[in-house]
Amino acid sequence: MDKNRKLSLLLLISVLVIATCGLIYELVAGTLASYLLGDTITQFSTIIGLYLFSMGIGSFLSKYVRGRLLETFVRVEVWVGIIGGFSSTVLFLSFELVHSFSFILYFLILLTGTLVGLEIPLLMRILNEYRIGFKDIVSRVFTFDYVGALAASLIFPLFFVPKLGLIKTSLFFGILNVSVALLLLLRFPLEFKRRRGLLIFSFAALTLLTIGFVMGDRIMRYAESLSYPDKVIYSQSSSYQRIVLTRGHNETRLFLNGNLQFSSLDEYRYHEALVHPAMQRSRSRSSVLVMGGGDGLALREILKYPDVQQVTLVDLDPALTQLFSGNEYLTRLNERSLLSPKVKVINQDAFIWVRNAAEKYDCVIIDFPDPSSFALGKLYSNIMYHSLHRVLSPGAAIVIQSTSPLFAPNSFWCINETVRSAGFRTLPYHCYVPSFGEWGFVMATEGDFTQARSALPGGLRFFSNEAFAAMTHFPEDMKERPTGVNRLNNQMLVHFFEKEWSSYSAH
Amino acid sequence: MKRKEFLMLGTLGALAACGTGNIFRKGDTYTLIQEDPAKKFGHMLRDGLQKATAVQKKEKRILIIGAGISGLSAAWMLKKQGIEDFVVLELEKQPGGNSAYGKNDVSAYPLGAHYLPLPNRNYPELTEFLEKSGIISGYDPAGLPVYNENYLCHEPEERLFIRNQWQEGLVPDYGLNAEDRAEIKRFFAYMERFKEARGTDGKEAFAIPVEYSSRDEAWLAYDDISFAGWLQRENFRSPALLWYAEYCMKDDYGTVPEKLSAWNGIHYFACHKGKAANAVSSDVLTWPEGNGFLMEKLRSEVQEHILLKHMACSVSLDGTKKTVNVLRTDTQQSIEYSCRELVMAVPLFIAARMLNKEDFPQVLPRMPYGSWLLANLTLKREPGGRGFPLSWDNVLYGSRGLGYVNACHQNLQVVHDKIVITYYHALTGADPAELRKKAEHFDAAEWNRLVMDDLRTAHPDIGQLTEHMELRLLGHAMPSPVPGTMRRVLAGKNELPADIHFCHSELSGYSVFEEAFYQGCECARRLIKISV
Ligand SMILES: Cc1cc2nc3c(=O)[nH]c(=O)nc-3n(C[C@H](O)[C@H](O)[C@H](O)COP(=O)(O)OP(=O)(O)OC[C@H]3O[C@@H](n4cnc5c(N)ncnc54)[C@H](O)[C@@H]3O)c2cc1C
Repeated sequence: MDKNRKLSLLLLISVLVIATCGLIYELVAGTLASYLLGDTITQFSTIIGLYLFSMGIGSFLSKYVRGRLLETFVRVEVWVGIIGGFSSTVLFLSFELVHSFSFILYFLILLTGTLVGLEIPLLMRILNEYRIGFKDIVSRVFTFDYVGALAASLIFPLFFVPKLGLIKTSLFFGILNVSVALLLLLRFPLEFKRRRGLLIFSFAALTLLTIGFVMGDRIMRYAESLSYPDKVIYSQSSSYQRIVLTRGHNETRLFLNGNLQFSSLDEYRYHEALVHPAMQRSRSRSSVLVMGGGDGLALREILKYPDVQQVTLVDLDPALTQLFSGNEYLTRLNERSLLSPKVKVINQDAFIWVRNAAEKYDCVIIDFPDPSSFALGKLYSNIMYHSLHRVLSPGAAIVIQSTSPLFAPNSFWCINETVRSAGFRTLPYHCYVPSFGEWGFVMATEGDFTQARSALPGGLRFFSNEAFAAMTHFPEDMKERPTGVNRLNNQMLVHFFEKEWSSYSAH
Repeated sequence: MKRKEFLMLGTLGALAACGTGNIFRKGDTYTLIQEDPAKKFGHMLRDGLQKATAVQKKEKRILIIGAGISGLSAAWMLKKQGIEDFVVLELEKQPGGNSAYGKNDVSAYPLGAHYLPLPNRNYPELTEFLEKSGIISGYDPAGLPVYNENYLCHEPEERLFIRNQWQEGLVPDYGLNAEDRAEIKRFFAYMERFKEARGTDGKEAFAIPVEYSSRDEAWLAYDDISFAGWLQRENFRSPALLWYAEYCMKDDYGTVPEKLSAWNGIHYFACHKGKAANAVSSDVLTWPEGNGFLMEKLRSEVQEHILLKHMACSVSLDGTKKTVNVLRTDTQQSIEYSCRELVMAVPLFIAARMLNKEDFPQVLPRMPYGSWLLANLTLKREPGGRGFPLSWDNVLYGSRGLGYVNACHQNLQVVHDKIVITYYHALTGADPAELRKKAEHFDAAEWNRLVMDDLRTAHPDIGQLTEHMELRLLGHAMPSPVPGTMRRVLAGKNELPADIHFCHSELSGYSVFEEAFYQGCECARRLIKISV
């Protein structure tokens, strides 16, 4: 094969690569836009339209390119690689950083489209220079172009998105683009006048893209952390959940799997309301059980009673309890409650633990995450509540955080009904926590409820017995309704919860 | 017994073993496969014969061959009535047959049957058994049973992988057009009517146990055509519905609608009418070890009567007594058992080979048997997927397999790291006998690939997820009721030798727990009548 033919073959292959890459960038942009902005149909059709249009601009501009065609081609190729390759990274990162996300999105598409549009006519002219019949060129170039497009549209959803994710996919194709340019530079050194500069440029691009590719997962995670309103000061994926702490100018928030657990500004309201009513109604308080609540904040409230002798805290996730026993800021928030000698921390699945527990407790505080999945829904089942009987000493009181009676009234009353079905008397109540809204709790005892048996500890900022009287009143928009019992074989609560919160967040 | 005769019986043992069998590790791959049973038992018998020690003679009043659900139920009932002079012979090293189970570090898992539909309470013995086993924990004021909720299948129960995502429930829905939807609705409305239907004799048209079904010709006529024929006759054409119907038939009978009696096809949808205080009639009872749980409950009551690794080889008549030649598969000793009452709780094709032709000239009814492939996969973590979350039963639309069941589903912990899933595949297609032959020559790698390729459509990462796979091939897994079967069964025309008692689920025409249990108990009842 003579040199010209080899070159033209390589150029044709690069058409294939360009076409594939070009379409991939477009698909990535479309997918990302529909992920982040919603409305798939509009996103895809505007993006495809704009992309085709900018390709037209590119073709138009190509006629202004004179001389040194191959060099321009290679330079354009490297730029496509850089811009296309980093497009999804930029888009991911800019989604939360700036308000003009759509502007950046369309700008990037315009840019890649134009560059890709430049390449095809350039290429035809180059091939023409190397003397291959023009008729032949057009048909060949378009064949490769369309084959590339088909390849891209097939491998993108089937292979790349599931295997690599969006960020790494576009970086991968960026690398491919630049590699073609490099190949041309290396194989046909004599065709280029300013070869050195171009080589340095393409190597730099390749290195950058490769680093990006290797760090793709980290970029992804960082990008995700930007979806929190405040600065992320800590984030970790434990084996059970994603723990994220954010810090605004005067508050700290904890998110588990993206759900807000508390804000340091008003958590005292939540935790005082959670802990004190039950502590006051338990016949004794020497031994207390906490399930969930690995942040140690409920524990802080419990330890305010001097007659508490020991507290057992069962929380699934060691990463969470360690974080809240070690971090200086957080231990200040929970008053080093997890480090108290009275406290025993058990990192185990609460459901399994309670079925094997040997000891009995005077008061039980249950602070599980909301029943947002079938896995968590088990913790709110009648079987779970039935098994509580075995850990209760006579006269013990239980309290369960029970989601919002205002936003999710069926969920709230379903928890109440389920607890009752397991042989308890219940006392539902609610209070206002600004960062959550109206929040509900279900208190339960085996026997009759009594009035508060003792004085409240000092230093409370929110809770009082007078306030509690009001909390037990449910106005019309939150009032009790029959729901049915949450059983493992119906997981009714999870269905309620999903429906109620999705309709709430849709407003 | 003559040596030649003994050798011939070896083949019988081998055939019996097609149903069960040892599992061995193949090289150092994670794939395990059942050793070719024919070869294994052939060898064992030859070697055993050379070493065979003097024939021991033993006597029992009642001898039960087979410790599957039917044999164990018969034993359970005898014991309950105070009869102790019996033994149960089982060729495997564990009882249970098609309801056996396995266990590893992560979980117990089924080696066959995995669930019991919410029982119809028309058979008092079953209700009693369920009460005693703690499965029914009490009754509500209206008299409805309260089932132990640890055993009722937890939500999420079923999901279907269709059009690249998981939907809730197995009836296809996601992405269906209005026509398909309408037809599916019409189909289920039909089945609701069948559920309510009764014959002129006042009996339910489709009951379980099948024995309680109506003999009214109007209903028996459904046994004259195939289920596929019926679907066609009633103008059901929706591909989604036809897929669903085929899936159900494979799942329950191991055969396709073309080869199945319409009576049975309808029976599957119309026979479950169980009521409960805390469940609906479509609910099921299930355990990590599947029906191995029920099997253990039966077994524990009659433990001391069961002899494992005892293979019955031949049966002859000696006056009023029956003589059974038994080979101990571990020690290779042979024992000659004589008994007054003999119970065959084994499939009829095995029984047929066992009976001495001169003493029992009758030809036993023959049914076609389907073959099954089961794979228990230990996964490093729960498999993901777009759409509805991992459920108990997970089926792939359009796949030839039957999907998989999560053996860890009933565990109460919130988060699982490793789980075991049981993959089911009814080997339908060509002639069953031919399939079985082909199956024997298939090697572990090929079975492994078949399972992986099927699951990969829904779980592209299944290869990396799988830590360990245990394959089990059931050659004669279950009889499939072709048209004509139920007429024979319901007319009581099983034409079996009168001097022996038969009680395998096959006598009901098909194989499920309720029928095996019913056959076992009814057989025991007959024995009890004889003894008083
Ligand atoms: C893959 C599969 C899945 C199933 N799933 C379900 C389900 O989910 N629910 C359900 O209700 N049913 C299911 N079934 C049906 C199941 O077969 C019945 O529930 C029940 O286990 C049948 O019991 P049986 O006693 O009638 O028969 P078998 O289980 O066949 O019992 C026969 C026993 O006899 C033994 N035996 C055979 N030959 C000899 C011999 N020569 N000497 C001594 N012993 C011998 C065998 O080893 C076996 O233990 C399933 C079956 C299969 C194959």
